[in-house]
Amino acid sequence: MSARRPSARPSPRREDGRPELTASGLRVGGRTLPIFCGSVQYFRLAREHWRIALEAVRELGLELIETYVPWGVHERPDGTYDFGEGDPRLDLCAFLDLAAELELQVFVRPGPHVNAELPLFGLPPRVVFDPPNQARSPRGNPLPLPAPPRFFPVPSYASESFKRETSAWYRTVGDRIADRCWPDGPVVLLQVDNEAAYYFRDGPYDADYHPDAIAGYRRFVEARHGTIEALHQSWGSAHACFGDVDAPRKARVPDRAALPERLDWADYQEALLGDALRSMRDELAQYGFEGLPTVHNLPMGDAGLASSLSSLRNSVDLVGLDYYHGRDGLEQVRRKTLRLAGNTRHPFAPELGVGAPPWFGPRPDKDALFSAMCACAFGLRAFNLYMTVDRDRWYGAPIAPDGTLRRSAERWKRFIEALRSSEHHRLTRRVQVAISVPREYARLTRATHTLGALSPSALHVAGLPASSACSTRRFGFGEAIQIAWTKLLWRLDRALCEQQIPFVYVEDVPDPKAHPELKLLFAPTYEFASPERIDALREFEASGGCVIWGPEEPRLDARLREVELPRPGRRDPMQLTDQPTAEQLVDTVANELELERPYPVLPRPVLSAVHRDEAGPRLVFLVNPGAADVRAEVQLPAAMAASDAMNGERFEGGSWRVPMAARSCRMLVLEREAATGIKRKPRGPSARARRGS
Amino acid sequence: MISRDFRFDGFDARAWSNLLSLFRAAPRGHAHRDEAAPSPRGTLVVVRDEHEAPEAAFVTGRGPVPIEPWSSPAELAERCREAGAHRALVLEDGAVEELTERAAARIPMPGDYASQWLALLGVVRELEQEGQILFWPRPARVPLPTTAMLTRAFDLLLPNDRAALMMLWEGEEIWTALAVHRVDGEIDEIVGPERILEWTGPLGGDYRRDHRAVQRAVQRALGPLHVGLFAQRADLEELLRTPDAGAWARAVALRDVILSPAPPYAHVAVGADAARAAGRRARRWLGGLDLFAAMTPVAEFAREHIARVGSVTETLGFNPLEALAARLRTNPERTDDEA
Repeated sequence: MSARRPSARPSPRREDGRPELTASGLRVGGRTLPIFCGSVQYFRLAREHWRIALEAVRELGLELIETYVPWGVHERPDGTYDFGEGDPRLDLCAFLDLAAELELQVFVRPGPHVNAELPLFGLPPRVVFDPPNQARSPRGNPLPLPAPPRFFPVPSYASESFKRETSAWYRTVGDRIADRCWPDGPVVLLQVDNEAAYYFRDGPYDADYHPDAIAGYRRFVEARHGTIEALHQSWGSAHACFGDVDAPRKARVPDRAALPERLDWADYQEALLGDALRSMRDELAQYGFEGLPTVHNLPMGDAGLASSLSSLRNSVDLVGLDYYHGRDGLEQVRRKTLRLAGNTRHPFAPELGVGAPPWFGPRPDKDALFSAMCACAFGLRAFNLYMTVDRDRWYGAPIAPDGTLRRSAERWKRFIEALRSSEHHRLTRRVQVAISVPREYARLTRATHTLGALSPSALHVAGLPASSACSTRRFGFGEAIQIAWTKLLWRLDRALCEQQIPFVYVEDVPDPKAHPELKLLFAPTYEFASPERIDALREFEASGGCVIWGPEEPRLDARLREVELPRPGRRDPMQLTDQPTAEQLVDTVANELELERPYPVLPRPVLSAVHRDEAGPRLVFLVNPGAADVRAEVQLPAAMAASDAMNGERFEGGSWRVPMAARSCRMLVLEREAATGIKRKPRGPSARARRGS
Repeated sequence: MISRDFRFDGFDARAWSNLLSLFRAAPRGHAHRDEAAPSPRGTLVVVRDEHEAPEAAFVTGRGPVPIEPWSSPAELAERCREAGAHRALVLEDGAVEELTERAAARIPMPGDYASQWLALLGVVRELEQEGQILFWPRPARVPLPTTAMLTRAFDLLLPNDRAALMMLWEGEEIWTALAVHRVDGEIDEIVGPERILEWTGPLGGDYRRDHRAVQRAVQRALGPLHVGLFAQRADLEELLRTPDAGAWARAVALRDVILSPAPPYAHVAVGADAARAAGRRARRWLGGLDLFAAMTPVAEFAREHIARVGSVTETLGFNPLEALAARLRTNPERTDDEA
């Protein structure tokens, strides 16, 4: 291993210390930088192309670059490291110094999991094939992942041995580049691990049965239940001590009595990942990255993952979601963005796919841009264009590996410039409605999944509800809650879209500081519910909000124990038997609470999204998810004018007629002097009128 | 089959999408959409409990569906019809876990990717035979090839230290291109048009002339070419989907498709295509007398003397080109919107 090399070209020391994540971006050196980031992988580019590639990234309008630091690429077979001493492409310090010279900031992702279409997801073979590091199946087998170019056994997030290896790798990275953290160098943002989902072996009864994971589970169960008697009462079991506890190893849940144990297991799987990331974050801090804002990215299939945005809130400073969607994936883009908007202070896509690996389906340029524009329409404020500079095992980035701008680059440049000039990163959408995503029901969905290694998240990635392969048993409840709750959510979602009422998804309950304008909260409740959530719903109502809950009044807590629970809200429970009932409910309550429907647009299914700053509306996005071209009519609160950010087409008057191609998004920048307030009631016909009632 | 350190580069999104679109099935016509009842789509996936009652059920592309138990294949067909699916996959209690565990124990790690997939498919077949996994309708089964059989077939198509090249034009523009190189029994390079054009420099735009310069450049960069195919995009798309005997032979004769270099299997494939076409025409002209059948002994003689040519079909148990053409002609799951 060669010695640490001091920064060759240190940036001038700034007086204001470490960067800071804010609701508008990244505060660095006294100014707020939008997190518009471009992915460039130094280790895959010819060294002589680094400069021109980075200059091209700048030309695209990005001031922040992102790179993985892949352990398996830097580690030689003999266990020493190559940071440019052997292969000049691996000179990470030189790459960072070049970025600093070009006044680019850097977002570093040192893994240990990086994927990046590298063999073994960027881990060294020595580590991957060492049995103590490997995650285990219910019968103790390693878990092969069929990722090209080879199946490999995935590591265990619980393995103490793997943690020690990771720690040594972090120390090495820290030794090399910690002195290049801001203000001494360009590194301003740090990602802890990558797509923490048990390396995609995240079926609830698929992983992880590593001895260290089982030991952790016993500690978790003991901490939760306190005494063995309490455990017996909850699980109906007869363990002699907590050391006798084992994890459930069969997917089928035979009956209601088995559910408490399964819910504990689902909860532990969530906790294990959160603990692992927290531990990695602390290690990185110890090795020189202390004070840098930390982020983590959850992979595709977010509705079926063990982790959630809220469960990782204490592990890193900001949790984001990755986006790789085709033009047919708009619904997923919309829902995941609304989830980010409801649960994070700065909605961030650490990987906003531009292009794809060859083993994904074809992903044309226009699909990537459509996804990105739609995500920004629904509230995404920060992103990393992955990839910005093309590389091995990837296609479709806007910049070729030699730094040449491809034909798609011009459109990306225009889009980024429009986001910058409109200050999209600091705008907000006024949202008065939220839909609660109760974590206890999400856990039930995972706990009752029947398809083993074909996990709920894999089904979600395939465009199916994460609950698709859930047991249809009712477990003594009025209906199969594990399936019913998501159906209820989608009915409300469609009804709110139909009524053109902006809303967000919140995990459990909203943070009142983050959403001070919320007036209405839809909260699914069934026979069991978390008492903390019920209390929070009541607090929301006590502070002037309205809670629509139901269809059942909970009488059991989240561990299915009988408890005295107060009624979640003052109103009667909602009973949404079908879609028209949901629309009727939303229409009624929207009129009652005078909810805003800003800039309504016809015909359906076109959607509008208004973004504003302190002075009022600034941007209007129009999204046509349909397969037909339409002429959208936007109803405005007053005569105003706007121009399309991409092609300059201008619209003015009291309403706009905007041509919309099939599956397209338009970003209209309001001309400031005309952009006034918005009207509370829509000019267009209400849903009731449209239905002719 | 594919190297651990293989390289894939030189594609922008358009070139890669174009390449994949060649191998996508043609959509069904609009008439199909006008039918009163929607045609069945997707796979009904059912997980059954230990009493063979459905525990969970969903249709791919749609989501969960209610389903009643069944006791015979005819009833399962009825369940598919009710769910609007055109096939079913039934997993008995514990089948997925069994699949996962057996696969984990048998997949060689580290190991060759093809061997790893064959091990996984072998477990699926085994569970199917044990009745733990059921496909409906029951698919036609050929024995799974061994890794050695696949390697032999691969050796024929692209020998070691050789490259294969395809470049397609649309008018005078390169529409897509693909060069593949094999070394030590594995693909180590997959290269797209952007990189190939770096090697060739500017081209004139006429594939009948440009192909020589492209061949030379790829040979210099990757190694000796084993097979090269050059054509206009529309011509190749048509050929890949046509059921017409003789179409390939005609296209090669008219230089609508240039095969250069052409390995023995390509010569024989084109020759067989021509012979089949001639046989069909002769049968029509000669009032039903099957000249091609009469020539079978000659064809057999030729085949025996070019033994390696037949080995792909023999090895795999089916003719991959015929299967591809049949597959590309229509795809019941694809609509015009996806085109």
